[in-house]
Amino acid sequence: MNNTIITRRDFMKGAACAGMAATVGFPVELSLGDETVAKTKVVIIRDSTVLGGGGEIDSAVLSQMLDKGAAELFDRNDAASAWNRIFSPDDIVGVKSNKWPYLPTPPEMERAIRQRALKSGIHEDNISIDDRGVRENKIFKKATALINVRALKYHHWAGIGGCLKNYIMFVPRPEDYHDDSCADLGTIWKLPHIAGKTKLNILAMLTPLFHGIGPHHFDRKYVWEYKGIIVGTDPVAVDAVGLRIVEAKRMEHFGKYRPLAPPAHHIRFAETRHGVGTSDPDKIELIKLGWQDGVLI
Amino acid sequence: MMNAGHVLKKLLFLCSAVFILTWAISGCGRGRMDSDDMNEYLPDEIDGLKISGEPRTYDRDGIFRYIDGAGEVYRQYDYRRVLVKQYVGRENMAITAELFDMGTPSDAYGIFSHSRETPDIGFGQGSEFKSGLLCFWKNRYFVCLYSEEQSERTESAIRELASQIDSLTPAGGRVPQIVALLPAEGLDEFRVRFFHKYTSLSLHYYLADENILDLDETTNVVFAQYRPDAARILLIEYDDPGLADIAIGKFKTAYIPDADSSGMMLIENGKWVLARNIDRYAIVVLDSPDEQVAAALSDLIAANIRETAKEREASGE
Repeated sequence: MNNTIITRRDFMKGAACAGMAATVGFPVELSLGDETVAKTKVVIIRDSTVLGGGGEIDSAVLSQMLDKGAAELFDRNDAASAWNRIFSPDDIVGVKSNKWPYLPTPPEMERAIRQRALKSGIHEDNISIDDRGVRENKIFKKATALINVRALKYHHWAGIGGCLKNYIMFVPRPEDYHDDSCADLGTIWKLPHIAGKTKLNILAMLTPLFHGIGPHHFDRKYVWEYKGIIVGTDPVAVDAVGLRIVEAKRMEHFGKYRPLAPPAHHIRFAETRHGVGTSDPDKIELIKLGWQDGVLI
Repeated sequence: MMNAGHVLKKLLFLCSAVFILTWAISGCGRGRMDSDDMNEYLPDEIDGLKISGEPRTYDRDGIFRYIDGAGEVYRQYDYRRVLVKQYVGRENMAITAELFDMGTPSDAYGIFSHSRETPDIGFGQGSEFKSGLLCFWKNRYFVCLYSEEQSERTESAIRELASQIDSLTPAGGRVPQIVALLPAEGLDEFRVRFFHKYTSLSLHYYLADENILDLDETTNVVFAQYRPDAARILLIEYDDPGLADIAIGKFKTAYIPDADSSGMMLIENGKWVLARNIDRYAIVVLDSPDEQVAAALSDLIAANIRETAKEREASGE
């Protein structure tokens, strides 16, 4: 077989590494033996009370989840010092949100981030929350710190819409990054106006979307109350964890392995082609806080 | 004083300018007429429902403002534009209607086939209703109607609106000819996908990370599943027999290098793969439970191709 082409058969042979598995989602165990590798920390925080009976978000609970996540991520005893680790008072902060109408970044989450930036001493005029207008936004143009926050969803072109994909609005022609199911989204993270500025990536997993139908690929039937958030400094690792949860949910829901179509291989490529993070589960230190029922990972 | 020649020149210039201006105002001809036609296909009001807000249109480049990056699914076809109207009814009932101009009837069928899962419900030239979403295709148009509220009253209103749109939209076109080449026996009619490009194939079935079948906008592809063992057929129509031959050679090299002389090979999952080309078609059978099923499906398609060619020849096409 042509060695330069990765085919479906390569996965069947079981010769694929975990990174390759991410291409189509085949579950593959990877052992690194006794080798010690530096791991990327990712924190999942869940709380069964964050959503009310009607799906309304409890802002206080969500804020506590965010604080717990930040403290754990940066090894701090209290949330305030964690946020002070994230922000400096003279920072200019752009919060890259996501306004997809069916599953937007929760406004409660946006408010919580703004409040924490203010408490860290940042001037109100130096904070902006935006999605589609980031390229024209004056704050984003001179931002020294970016916070990347969005809801996780199945995406009918990229496999999943997570932290990596959320930065596609930073380029003038997003469609230029659509080739091969958005395989090279990782390159966006190396652009001069982006690189090194992201202090925190947050995947809102309160009600993730694990499958889609229809013109907008959204159906409430495929949303479930996971009641969690995932935080990390590495967008690739955060997305890789989110992807595993979505795949586990699909397995649970459909009763059989049903790979994402298209594959979310942009996550693997962000590591292997573009070196912007870690997708390999064995190189991720996953911390799970709070409610554990149905954690799926 | 101006002479007669000069006056004539000025008149000609004036007439040309008026003509160009009129043409421009009318939307450069056919494009604007299409938009106007589309507006008529989505009525502003039916019994119990009327539009709310201004209709919106998103063209090929603008679709991402409406459907996010997944708008690429439409752009893999000859998608031209979508007209969107929001309807409101009694007790806050809200329905969204989308009319996609897919450029050709084949591509309207294609986008309809992309995610089809359920039996026809009698609208247009093919339709389905699932989870509060009603879709049908007719002529070169693909219509989607849905409501966030999933209830009997919204389903009833959606069906009524679909009926009106169906009656206003002109008939025309047909299912792509290549679909008729699929053997009917055992065919899962809800798993027949029509498209052109390799990216679309990857949405349905990951084969390889490179385009090992040379699919592009010039190829017509049908991907179908068969009962009871989920064998799959990938049938591709190229512009000429030479391209089909090259593509099958490329596929064999990349995917089944140890295939026998008939193009058959048993692979790691215990299933059989068969690849061959006939005339300008490439036939690939995937996930076949045994050699006999693969050969039978392939032979039936080959026979259908020959039969169709004969019919074309007889009719002088």
